[in-house]
Amino acid sequence: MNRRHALTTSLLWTLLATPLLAVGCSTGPDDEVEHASAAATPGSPATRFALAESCSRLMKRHESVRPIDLEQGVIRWGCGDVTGVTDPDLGQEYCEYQAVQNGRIVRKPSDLTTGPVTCVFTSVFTGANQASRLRPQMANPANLGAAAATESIVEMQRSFNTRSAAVDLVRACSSRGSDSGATSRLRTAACYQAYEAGGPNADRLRTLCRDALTDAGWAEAQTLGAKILTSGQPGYEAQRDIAGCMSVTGAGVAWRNSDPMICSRVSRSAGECSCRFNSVPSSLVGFAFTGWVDDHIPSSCRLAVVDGAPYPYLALCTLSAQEVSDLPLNPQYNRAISNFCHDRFGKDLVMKLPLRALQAQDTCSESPGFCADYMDADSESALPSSPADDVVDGSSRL
Amino acid sequence: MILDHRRGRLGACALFVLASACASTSDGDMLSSSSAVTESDELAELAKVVGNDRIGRAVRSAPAAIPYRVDGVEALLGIGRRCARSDSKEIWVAEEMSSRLTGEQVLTSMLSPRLVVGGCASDDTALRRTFELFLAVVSDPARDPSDPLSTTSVEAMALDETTGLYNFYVLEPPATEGAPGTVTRFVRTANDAVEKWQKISGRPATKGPNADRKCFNCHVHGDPIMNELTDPWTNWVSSRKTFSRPLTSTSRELVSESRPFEGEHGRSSLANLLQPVVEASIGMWVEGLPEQPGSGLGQQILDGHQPGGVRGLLRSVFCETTVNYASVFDTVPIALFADLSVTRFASIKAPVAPVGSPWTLLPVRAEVDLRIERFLQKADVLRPDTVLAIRLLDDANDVFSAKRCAVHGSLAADLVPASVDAAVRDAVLAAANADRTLPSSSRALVRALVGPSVTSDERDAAEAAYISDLGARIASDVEKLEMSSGRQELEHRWRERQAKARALFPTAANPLPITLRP
Repeated sequence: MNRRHALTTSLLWTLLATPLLAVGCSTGPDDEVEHASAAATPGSPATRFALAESCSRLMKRHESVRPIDLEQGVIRWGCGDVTGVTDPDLGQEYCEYQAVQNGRIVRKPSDLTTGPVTCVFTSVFTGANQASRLRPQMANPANLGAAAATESIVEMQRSFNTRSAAVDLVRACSSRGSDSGATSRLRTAACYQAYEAGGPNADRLRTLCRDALTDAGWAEAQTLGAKILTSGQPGYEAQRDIAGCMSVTGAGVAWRNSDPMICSRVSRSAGECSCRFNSVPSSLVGFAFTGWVDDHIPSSCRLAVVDGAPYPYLALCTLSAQEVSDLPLNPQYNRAISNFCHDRFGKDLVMKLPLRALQAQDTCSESPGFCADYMDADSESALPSSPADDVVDGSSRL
Repeated sequence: MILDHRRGRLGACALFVLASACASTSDGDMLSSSSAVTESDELAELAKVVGNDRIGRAVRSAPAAIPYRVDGVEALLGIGRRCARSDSKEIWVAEEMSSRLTGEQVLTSMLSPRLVVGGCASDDTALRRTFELFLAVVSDPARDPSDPLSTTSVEAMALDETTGLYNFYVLEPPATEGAPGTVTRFVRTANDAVEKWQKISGRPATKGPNADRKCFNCHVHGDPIMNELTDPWTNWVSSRKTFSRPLTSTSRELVSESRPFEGEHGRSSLANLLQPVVEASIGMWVEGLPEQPGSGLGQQILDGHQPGGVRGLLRSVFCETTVNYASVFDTVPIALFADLSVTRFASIKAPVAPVGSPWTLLPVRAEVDLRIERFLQKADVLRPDTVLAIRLLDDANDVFSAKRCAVHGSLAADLVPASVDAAVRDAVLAAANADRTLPSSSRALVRALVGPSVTSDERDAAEAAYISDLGARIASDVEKLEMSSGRQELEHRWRERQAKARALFPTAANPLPITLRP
């Protein structure tokens, strides 16, 4: 396959992706909504309404695994980047990945020699200082059979994938649980739900709820069907989840899987249950790989063996011979094998943040519903924290 | 003894996935003799029917105890509930308001489960162990709705280690109580006839033509079928979907393995992970077993052991021999706007789905056809540039393209692999030059890909111009998602494709998802 079009196509995708993927990007900026970030990633929602829509999609994507998350007191999200993140910027979800052969990163099929090709997924936090220990362990035949040639194979490198960024995200989202914007987010979520229900008022609701709702605007939205729901009413949990998700603005990046999902649960727990959370402890070197409905990673992948035991922060997924021979025939994979890693393995490698275990002792109310279901402290003991855990380096998810 | 008379009377096809019922039973028509064979002959007679696969080896190892109930087959083969894996029993579940117990689609009053059981890999082995054997278990509308799965008579497809093709089996209750089960196998021959090979306990093996295509009504080439090979795997239990209602008894026990109902265990078999299994199975089934030269559908066809010849294989590149499906979830399937090959070439991805467009099951290019296309390239029958040029002839339609199919129809019937690429290039170039409706950028790129004496600069320019033009065309089409009238137009397009899928499978024995039932 001819590869000369790579630059042209990258440019095209950049041009085309923004209008396709960023709903509402053509509208003006909103004071609470961030602007689009790097060109190789999707545009961020440009209005409150677009943010609510993005959050609603995210929640629907996780609807079927939500009860399991609540029961276990965790937050799950996919390692695989969302549609619209292109190969130079893959690795947005506290999980970075690349293809490796003989211990070295192979970016294109033309780089391949002989030996197994493995997509290596690492969730070891950037700066966790684990690489020197992990690199030689990859020489274990159960792993790669060769020491990792570079740190980036075993430890994440992006600045927003630090433990400090996770601490910052949880802290920021916690503070938004009951901040002055909470009511406004709830109104927008209610407005979005009324829009989503369809009917003759949908277009007007969309216009009304684009920006921050004034009292007059909210009054009109209510006459058109928007309603802040109370516990037990159909749609209540979804409304609260959307509103919680919207608090990601300023704390993280709205189009990712991870940030809005984390923010939704954290801000709800803080706002509705009065929970306070400890820092992500330094004993946690990353977010563990898991499955969507249980704790098994997909059978095509395996956890690396480190010091003789499965290591939950490194997943190895070896390509079949046929998959290797297919790579040059798909222009996406011919350009970057990491795209293959994303499509074939990344979507079903799941990350897990043990939120319940982070709660500060005796801070969460156990009121029935979300709080009792999700934050019941009796269900699981908290992770140990240490003074050093509160030290942050200034990095963030933004 | 329990004889399932409904299955015995009818039976037709569609083993896997939304599927079942290759069923047969001893109708007697083809039995050349009802005289008993000696005990020592039993094994030799059985060997005439079965293939070099896990089913064949298992029944030959226990000819006096051939099972015909699901639990017996699970025990014999170490699969399903007897699978030793700790993370999954490889029991995947779909549900539809239909039953395929007879091989034909029959509407039911409520959603009913349909199971696919894999061959049970150990925890850390490749997918092959899983896909070398698939069992189908389907619901019986006559049973109690709380326990609807029919567990007597078992249908299976097993990967043959000599041919690399799937062998289709039915293990049925015996004619005589207490005897081993009857083994029936349906075989597609080199001249595209379907034969029924059968071994009834105590009788000689029989082989004969079958008037109905049976399994091959749905499994067009003898392939595994999973209709929606992409997120959200409509109708399947997955990370997106739980089973819809409570069940009891054996049905509950089996369905629970897809996702536990109430946390009763820590295993799962999600459609998310069936997808790569099916894709890998189709890959090996088409391209062959690495250790067995000459195996696999592609080579078997080229060598004349399976029907169609190289011209038949080319149909997968120009037209379609079957279809898969894609639904709106996070995004709208890109196939609604353009051919997958060209969007990959241009790095264009699917647009975000608008609110309120819950469209499901758009017919899209089949994994089988895509795999045959890859096989032809790996076998040096077609060059990658030639394949892309073919798709450019109608880049708006990944399936049901009259333009591309017309060019396929113009190809000579007696093509031989060594000269295929040149013949196809000539035909494609001629078609592109003759088609005044073809966008000029497409025509220019076709010329650059398959025409004579093209410089590198000329080709680069043609690629850039085409990608720019394609991007603009798709962006214009995608904008329709933002307007009610535009969405109506796209929905109409969607329905038209579904109608064409129905036309592709006009009989009641078909692999169509229930919502596309004729």
